[in-house]
Amino acid sequence: MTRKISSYIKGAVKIKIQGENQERFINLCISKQMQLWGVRKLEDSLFIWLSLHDFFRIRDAVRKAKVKVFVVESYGFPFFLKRLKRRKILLYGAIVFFIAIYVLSGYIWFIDIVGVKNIPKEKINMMIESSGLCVGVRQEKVDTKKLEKEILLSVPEVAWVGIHFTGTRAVVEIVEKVIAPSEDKSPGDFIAGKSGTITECITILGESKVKIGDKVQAGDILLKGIGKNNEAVRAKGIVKAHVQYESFGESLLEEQVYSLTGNRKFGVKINFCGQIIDLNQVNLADFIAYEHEVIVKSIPSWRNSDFVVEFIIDVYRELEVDTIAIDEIEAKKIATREALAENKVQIPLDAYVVAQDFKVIDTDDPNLIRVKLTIETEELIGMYNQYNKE
Amino acid sequence: MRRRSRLVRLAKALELPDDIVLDLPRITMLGNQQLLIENHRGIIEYTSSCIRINLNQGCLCVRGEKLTLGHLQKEQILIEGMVVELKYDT
Repeated sequence: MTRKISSYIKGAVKIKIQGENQERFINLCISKQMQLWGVRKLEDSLFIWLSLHDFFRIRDAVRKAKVKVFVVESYGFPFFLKRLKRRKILLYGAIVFFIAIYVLSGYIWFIDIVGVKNIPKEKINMMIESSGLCVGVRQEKVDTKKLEKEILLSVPEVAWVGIHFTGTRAVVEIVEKVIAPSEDKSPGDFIAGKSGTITECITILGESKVKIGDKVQAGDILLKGIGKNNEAVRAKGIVKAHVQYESFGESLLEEQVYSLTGNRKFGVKINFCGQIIDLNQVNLADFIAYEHEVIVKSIPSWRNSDFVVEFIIDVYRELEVDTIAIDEIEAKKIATREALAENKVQIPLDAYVVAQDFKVIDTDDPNLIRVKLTIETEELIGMYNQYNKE
Repeated sequence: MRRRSRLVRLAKALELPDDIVLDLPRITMLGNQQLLIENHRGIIEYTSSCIRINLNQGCLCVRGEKLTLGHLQKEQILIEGMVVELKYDT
């Protein structure tokens, strides 16, 4: 690799040697510490690659060996320069090209506005254009700090703005303010969302209507929205209560399991432009239970043609029914799991479970196990109601 | 001859490489694709099927097909192509 690079920088020549004493010429060159490579013999001619520097030293060897030398090929930077000198327009073109790239890269050709969600981009665009940041302006002429300040002052929804250049692109980064949702301060009562027994009652604003140990029903007023001077306020407080949840789960003592027998039947229909033609009807009389699958195979549409041909294959797989007996403990477990799953939907995530109780309920069906699950939780039950003047 | 045998003994005693002490050519072959000859005395004949190289001990004849000289220097010659036969003509 380094040899290739150095030979490119120094320049190399491929020469053709013709004459009797070609070997002598090689030996004379070697004795003068020259480096030769790519030596090849084709018919009576010998082709040799040598560096441009060595090429100017072979005169003596050529005379002594009495051979004729022709330059066949040249390679390297000195020859590139020589060619370039002849093609001046190409050289000037390259120089102009690089100058143009350098000059044009100092201008802004693209403007990106990122980070805007609610503010219309046009608004920002208009503002920056009027302040001098537009396509075709030199980057130095844009005072980004001043522009940033201007945007911040004139658009109140903007929390932060940053303008930077990446190449010929100006990026205007905008961070919008997050406006907090306004709190409802209209007067109102704090009522019970669920029925339960009060365990904790802290009044922050309003008048407490319940005390610890009271049993409340959903909808009962917990804190009345009345201030000290009988004015209407929005009641505020923390009210916790023990709430009971009940759910049921069932399980049979035997279960029916379906399994494939391996017998299959196929029905084939053809859909020819909307008309379905039955090609193979299936008799399912000997299948007690089966599963059904429909496979539709259509010919790929060609050049938007409306000509539609579809093959509809019905696959019927025979199923075997097995009845598996489940012992009582397992059945209870299944029923409990079912009851728990049902209960989980009702209980809020922040509720704290205080007690949990399972009870097997007697049923008329000896084949059925029914479980009643009672969960008692402590949770916040308060919610707001519209203010009631009474 | 006596001097040579003395030199061989000296080289063996001092565990010196023979090619340095006796000025012998070192020939390295890479399969039948490449042949590197160090310490040569020039080329006697070169065609694409036969290369004869002058050495201290005589002449080395390399026969093969499409033989080229990949690299030529005062100290070494690299022969490329398909080498079929290698023979010493002393």
